[in-house]
Amino acid sequence: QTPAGSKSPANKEEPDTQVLSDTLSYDDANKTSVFTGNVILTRGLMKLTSDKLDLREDAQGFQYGVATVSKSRFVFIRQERPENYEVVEARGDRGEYDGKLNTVKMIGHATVTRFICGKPFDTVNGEVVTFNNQNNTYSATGGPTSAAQPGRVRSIAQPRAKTDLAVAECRKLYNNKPMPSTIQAPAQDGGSATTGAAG
Amino acid sequence: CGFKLRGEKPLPFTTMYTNIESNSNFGAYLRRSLKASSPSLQFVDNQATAQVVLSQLERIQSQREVSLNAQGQVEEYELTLRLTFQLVSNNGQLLIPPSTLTSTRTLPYDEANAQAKAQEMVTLYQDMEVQMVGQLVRRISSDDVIQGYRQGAGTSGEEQFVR
Amino acid sequence: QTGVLVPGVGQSSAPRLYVSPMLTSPSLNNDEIITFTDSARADITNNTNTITLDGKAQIRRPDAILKGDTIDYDRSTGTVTATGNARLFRDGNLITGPGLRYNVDKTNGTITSPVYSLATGGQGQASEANIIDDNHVNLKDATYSGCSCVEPFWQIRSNNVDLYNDENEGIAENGTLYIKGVPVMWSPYLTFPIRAEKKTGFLTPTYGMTSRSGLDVSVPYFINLAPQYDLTLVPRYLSKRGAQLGAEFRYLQPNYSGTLAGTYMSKDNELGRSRWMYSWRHIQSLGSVLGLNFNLSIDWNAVSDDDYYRDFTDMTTVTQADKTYLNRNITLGFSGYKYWDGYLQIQKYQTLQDATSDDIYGQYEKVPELRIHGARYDWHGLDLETTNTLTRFEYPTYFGDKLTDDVIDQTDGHLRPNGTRLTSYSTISYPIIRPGWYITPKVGIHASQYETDWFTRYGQYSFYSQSGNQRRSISRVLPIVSLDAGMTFERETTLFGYPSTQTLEPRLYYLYIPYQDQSDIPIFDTDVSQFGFASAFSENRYNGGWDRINNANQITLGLTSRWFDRDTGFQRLALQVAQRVYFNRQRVTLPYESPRIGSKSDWIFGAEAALTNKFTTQAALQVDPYQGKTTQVYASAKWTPKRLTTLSLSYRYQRDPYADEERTDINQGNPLSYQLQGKETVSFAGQWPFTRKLYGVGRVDYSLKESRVTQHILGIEYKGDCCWTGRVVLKRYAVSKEDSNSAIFFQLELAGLGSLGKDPMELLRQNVPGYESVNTPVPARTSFERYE
Repeated sequence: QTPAGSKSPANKEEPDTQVLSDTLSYDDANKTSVFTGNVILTRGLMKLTSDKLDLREDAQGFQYGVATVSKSRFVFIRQERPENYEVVEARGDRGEYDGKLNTVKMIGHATVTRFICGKPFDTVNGEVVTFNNQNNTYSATGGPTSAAQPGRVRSIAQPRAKTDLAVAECRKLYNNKPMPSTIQAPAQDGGSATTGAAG
Repeated sequence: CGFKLRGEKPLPFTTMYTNIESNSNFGAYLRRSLKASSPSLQFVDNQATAQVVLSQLERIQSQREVSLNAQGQVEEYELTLRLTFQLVSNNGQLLIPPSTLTSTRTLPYDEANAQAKAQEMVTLYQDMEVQMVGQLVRRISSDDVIQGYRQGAGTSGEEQFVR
Repeated sequence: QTGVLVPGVGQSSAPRLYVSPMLTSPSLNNDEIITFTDSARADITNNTNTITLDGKAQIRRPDAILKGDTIDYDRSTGTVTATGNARLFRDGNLITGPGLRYNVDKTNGTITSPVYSLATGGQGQASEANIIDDNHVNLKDATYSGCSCVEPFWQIRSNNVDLYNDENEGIAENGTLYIKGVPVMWSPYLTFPIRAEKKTGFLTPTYGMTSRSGLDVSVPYFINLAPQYDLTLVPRYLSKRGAQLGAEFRYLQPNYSGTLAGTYMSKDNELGRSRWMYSWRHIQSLGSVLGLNFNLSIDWNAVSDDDYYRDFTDMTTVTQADKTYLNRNITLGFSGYKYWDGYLQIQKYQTLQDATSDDIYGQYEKVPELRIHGARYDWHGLDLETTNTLTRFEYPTYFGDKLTDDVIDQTDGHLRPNGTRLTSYSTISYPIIRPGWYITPKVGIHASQYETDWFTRYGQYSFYSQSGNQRRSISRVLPIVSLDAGMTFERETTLFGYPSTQTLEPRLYYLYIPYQDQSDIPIFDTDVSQFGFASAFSENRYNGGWDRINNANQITLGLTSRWFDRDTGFQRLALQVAQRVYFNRQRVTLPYESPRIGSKSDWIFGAEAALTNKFTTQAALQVDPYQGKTTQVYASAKWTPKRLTTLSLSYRYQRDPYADEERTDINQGNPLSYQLQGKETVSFAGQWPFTRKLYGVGRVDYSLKESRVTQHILGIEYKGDCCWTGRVVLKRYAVSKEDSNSAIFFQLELAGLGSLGKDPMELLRQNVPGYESVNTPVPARTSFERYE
């Protein structure tokens, strides 16, 4: 498995994107690279896993990725926000990452679940779920292959008091320090490429 | 012409509890008739130990004026007795669902002698009650109750519903 | 069994649906409620605190459902704003409008130009609705109607309506009541119940016209003082007589309950005097003392004058039954020690004389009577019973105008002797019961002691016994021996094609009571029992307190045959015949009663047939064996095609005692005072739902002898399609020997406006033979209905 680190030049404090996969084929002419087999993309506190990932870069250097699955069931995204002890997990048939808009789209039977301190609290089921990492929002639209009723978006939200309770509990658990991130290795060796797992 | 004396009708169960007061004309006559029809039957005081429970759910005694004389005074009352009862086996099987026996009698009435007529009403109601004992005994010793109990005895109440 | 007979009203409990106890609405508190959403699109923003849904969006929570084209839900504050055909559904109440703002945590909100329909059936629209909290909704320039149908019959319009759910009260400030769009009533402060339950408020008014009192308008007002007490005031106006105020106070406590009712009219324009009535019913259990538990029952009635009940009637009284002797009874009952019971009672009457007839009504009063009764059944096979009664009899004095003053002065108004009677009747019987036969020998001793005051001080105007003597104290002891035996034969046969079991039940009843001259004994409360199947097999042809015990050496022979359906045991047909054979002549009679002359009684025949489960007939016939004439015929048929639908026709014939010319030994041709008067009547009665909305109940009694309708009553109820019910009752019945009262009553009930009063049709139905109670109350609406 070949590690491929690529720095996106667009904005400096942007965390770099790192992708691990079994195989990689890179086409320099039109700047596209295709990762296949146990693909794991990490970007800051976001991790994407799928069977195949097509990555391309546009003229301005923004990256666009399309993740698809063949063997495993879902493309899977995990977004952590340690300071409020939250993890948002989404899955769907296909994932599209748009570097310019800084959004990740999950298309087809898309489901988003928000965990607090490891416990699931809210879920949204629809056909397409779009994450906007810029302002930290996400939206869902219905469609024929919606995870909920065809054409509909359905969400389940726990009561306000319970979520606050869980956050308080978690804060006490980690006595006010942010939750350790499972995506980024411990802070001290941030950013270095990690060797890929055996194929 | 085919008539023969009514014989005993032994019942498959031997212990019965009933909430019908034993120290009453109706209760005593009912117990004697049931024991005569099925000599092996015993009446127990503790409901838990009884194989079957005969419960009187409702006894309604009512009267209604049916005819008036020229002065508009009541001349005749129609007395009605309604008795609702059910028979349940100790494993919860409903041998006789809640059913009602009704009997009516007409009583000529004379308002000028209300007390004498009141006493006559009491004897009429008792006579209707005793006449119901015959029907009650016949219903309890009917074939569908006996077979129902025999089938039920094997299975507990719930399974009976499952089948 | 105590002698006090309390007539219970038969209420059959028809099978009906109940709200299952498991069906409960979750009483989650607010921070446990999970919110579900459903929409075409959902945007979760500002740190997942606000959710925007659009495309037929819905927010669903266990306590509320909110729908709208787009919905913004701010979770941090709990406010939900729906725009575009918003619908809020909460506890069964539905409010719809173009826009809506609602706070799920504080459960308050406003809806613009709402159209609402409440779980309790109330509905209408308003310019604005403010949900103040769970219990209180305020509506601005609203319309309210009590029932949920498209175009309601009545409506209240007001600029400010407040609905309080717990207090079950709607308050409309300067509200106007419209009926079919016509303003009918205005009031600055109009209240109405939201739910149909015990609630202070006006009941359905009744308008009527009676021949004896003219126009009759009554508007009852119900005051729900407390869950255990309530008071109904009935202001009433009668055009011929004036204004009257009625009241009924009911109280219900764990060990006592009762009703105190009364009316008062200060000046009756026709009689120029005040008229009143009161009646008190009370029952109480007093707990146990010395092993005996005591209970008290009081039934005390009084009226201002004899004609009170003839002049005042209401929609539901069908006959003047029990209005000649107003019962006044106080009874202290006791029972205990397993086999003993009894009572101490005072039994008096207020007798209402009938001015149009010349006989004076009256009956003995028991002031007081003490009874001790013991019964021990199946003690080693023996049944023991003893009844001991001590009674002080006093006949009410009469100072009315039916007797001239000097006649009254001679006896100071006394009409009958007074006296005290002690009787003790103890019996032992040994019933031998076998499946096919039974024999019940029974031996009893009846002892009685009389102390009678014949008012000898009035000389020739004093009273005399049947024998003409005036013995102060008399005692009588008589043995009573009887043997009751019967057999039951059975065979399998078919009846109308059904496999059935037929029985043949011969029965023999032998009675022996020696003769003792009882002509010195006064008659307090004894009368001839009507000869029928019950009295044919009883010990004494006289009933009541047995002031006369017939000398008897007689056998009653009876034969009954019944047909039962073999599988269900349902009695399909019963035929009965009986006759009594006397071996001695009748030597004990009541005064003016002529003894029988033959040695055989009348034949009695009886038939009872339930031809189908819907059509039953009954017939009884009594034939005089000597002249082969029928003395009595009773036949009736009842058809009940389905529930709440019965038609019954009955025919009664009683031979007139005069018609018996050959009986020359009747004393001076006086009518036998103990024989029923001759009559021949036909009575038709029925309850019939003509259509789903129109319903009728009625009864007509026609006398063939006098070829006139003695009484009829007809009630028609029309259930309007939209929450109103109209009732008309026409009736005419005899109130005295010559007078009768004809009346028409009309009632318009606006469902949901007034509180729930007594249902007059229900009371009417009780007077129709074959009556089947209708009491399938409308199941309470639950918030589970109309769930979206």
